[in-house]
Amino acid sequence: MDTKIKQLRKEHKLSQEELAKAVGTTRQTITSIEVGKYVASLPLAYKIARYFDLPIEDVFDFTEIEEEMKEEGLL
Amino acid sequence: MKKYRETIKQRIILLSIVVVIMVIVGTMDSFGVIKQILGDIYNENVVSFQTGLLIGIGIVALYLVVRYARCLRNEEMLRTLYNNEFDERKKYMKSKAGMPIIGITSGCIIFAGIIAGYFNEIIFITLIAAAMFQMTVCAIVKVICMKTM
Repeated sequence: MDTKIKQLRKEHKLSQEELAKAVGTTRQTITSIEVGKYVASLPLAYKIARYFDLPIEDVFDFTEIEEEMKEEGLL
Repeated sequence: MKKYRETIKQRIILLSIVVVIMVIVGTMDSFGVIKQILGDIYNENVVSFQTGLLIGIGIVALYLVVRYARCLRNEEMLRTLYNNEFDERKKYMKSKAGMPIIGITSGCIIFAGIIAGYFNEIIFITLIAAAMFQMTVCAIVKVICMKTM
């Protein structure tokens, strides 16, 4: 899943370590989420979004999921 | 964090008890007390393995006691420890690698191997090898998860 975490971190002049500490996780997890290797859980995604004072959908890209839902006729 | 601090204090107490037990067992072994207790069923290979394992557990327990004690004195270190322990990615990787079930079953197999070893050395070697294989597979899966996640 694509995210804007890296971009937001740069805007806020934050390191991965600082963000990780703020949201209660590890630097490695933030790295994995940024590069799309790992999809954050809902609580962690919420914490990250809240930290940047943004709604979840502004931080995480749900386009793929929406497309899947459209294909399945759910949207 | 207050609750976690209490948990760490409890862990320090438990691990200290483990260290003390290991020191007692190690001392007993070095003075030949274990040999006397076991009598006829004494097996040099099994006892050597058992002593090595106990020393290893003792060293790890001692290391953890020191680490936890340092964390209790430093709020920053305690927070990092907490984040590391409750990191969802790490928890996910551990569950994929079969933890904690693999750890528990391996422990049980090793324990059974040591007991059986006093009666039959082949069973001892087989069970220890099985436990080692199980733990090796677990470690390999964890390394793969670390690389891919």
